[in-house]
Amino acid sequence: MFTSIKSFINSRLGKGVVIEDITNDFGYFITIDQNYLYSVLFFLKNDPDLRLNILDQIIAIPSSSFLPKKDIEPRESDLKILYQLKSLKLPYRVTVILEITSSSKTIATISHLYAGAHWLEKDIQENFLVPFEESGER
Amino acid sequence: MKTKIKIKISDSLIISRLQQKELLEVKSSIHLNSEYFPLVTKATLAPFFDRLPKNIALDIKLLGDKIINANAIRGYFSHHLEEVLKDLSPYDAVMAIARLNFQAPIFYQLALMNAFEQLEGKSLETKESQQRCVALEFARIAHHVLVLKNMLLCLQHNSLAHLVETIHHILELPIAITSRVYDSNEKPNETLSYETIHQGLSDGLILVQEIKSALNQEEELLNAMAKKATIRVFAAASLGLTGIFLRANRSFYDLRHEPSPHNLYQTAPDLMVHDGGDMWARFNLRLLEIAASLRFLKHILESDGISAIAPIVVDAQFGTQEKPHSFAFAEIEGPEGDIKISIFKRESSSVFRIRTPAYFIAHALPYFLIDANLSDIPLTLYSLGITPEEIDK
Repeated sequence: MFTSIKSFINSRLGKGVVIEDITNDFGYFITIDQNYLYSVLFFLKNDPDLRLNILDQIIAIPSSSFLPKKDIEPRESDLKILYQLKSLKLPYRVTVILEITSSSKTIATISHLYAGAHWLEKDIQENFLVPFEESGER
Repeated sequence: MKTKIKIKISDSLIISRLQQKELLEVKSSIHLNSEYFPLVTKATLAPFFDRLPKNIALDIKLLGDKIINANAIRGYFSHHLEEVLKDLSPYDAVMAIARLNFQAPIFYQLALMNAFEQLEGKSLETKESQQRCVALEFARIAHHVLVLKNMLLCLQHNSLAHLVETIHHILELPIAITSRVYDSNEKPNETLSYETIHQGLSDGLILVQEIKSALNQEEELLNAMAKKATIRVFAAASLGLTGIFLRANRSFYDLRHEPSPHNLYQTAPDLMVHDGGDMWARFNLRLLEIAASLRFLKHILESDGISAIAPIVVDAQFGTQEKPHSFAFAEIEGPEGDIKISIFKRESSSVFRIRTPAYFIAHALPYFLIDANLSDIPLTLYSLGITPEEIDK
């Protein structure tokens, strides 16, 4: 669907938003800067060319467990949080990856965009002690 | 002199003019909650199991009989199964994941097998793939029959419930054989012949037609379910609801029809949709999906695919091959939505993540219950077709 989803998003939202992108059988994987999480997901959900309306799941995994390409060394991060999104009408999916370290600040909640994110964020907060914004703050 | 009353309404509710008048006549400031206002009551619903107390609960606030607010309490989720699986061999993991749904474990077991096979880079032969699709569709029929039967019994429509249950009776043996993955030592010895199953599928289709005709004359059922537990397509998608919750809003989202290299279905059952997004739409959609599954199974039998129904068996050596990939995402279209198993593998450790539709449905319960009557709760819960084991995976 996209030759490079990274170029597409960076052209719309600004350079540097998407750090890395990978495409394979499982869809598009984009690693983004934590500061742009809400903006990127808002864009992915609402842009008419993208329309990623379905929140598939939000999962947290240790960084050492996830290595998309064999020749890429993992960055200095403890945890990866994967936001898996799908489209109602378009046959593709995008996984947005956040890399979290022990010094990362509070992660923006996306429960205002995707109502189903509330419990998923709470799960990660309880099991991995990752701070999320309270859903009332935005 | 009337005192001006401050009413703090922290919940959404509709107050009748009579109630407003009653409030104005009270001389002290009050908050509209159950402690001060007798018309608002609180109740908590929670599942109960003898040896497995769960903290999942549903807090509701009632104005008379009307639910004005609902809040699903997550409690503490143990994620125990995801932790258990990582220490097991692939064979043991396939057997262990069956505990998520004792009635139709095949969905989770096949999703997990698919994920392990993706890690190995293994692709299935057409016949093997078809056999799995057959098992999934029989399990889907059994699940929908059970949900419909429970809903009809809840509405005390015993005759129609009996008719629905007859579909299960006709196909009891193939459903029992295909409902789970077996160990090579314990697999059932039955293999059913083409003629036996074909007759059962044809009879099942006739029964579905009869039930649909009977439903058209039952206004009572329509009144009990229409415009109840309504959820629209974009709200459902935002909540992570998939499957029948989307298709009951005329959405064509169905994993069985997705053009993915990992899709088990070479040809899929007819995609059924309904409009309305309410309980009545989902009720009818389940019947349509039963018919679609029956037709699909008949087509598979009549074509050159398989000539008999056999159980799916996995041996102790399953998943012991070299694993070239580091992660896999396997998805199955479950009866209530997408079931997804993610495996992240690095050297000797594996991380499992399981997506169950019941988790998202449990989260969405307040959306189904707002503005419903207290008496609608049992029917609404039956209509959702979920089990607590799937919620607290």
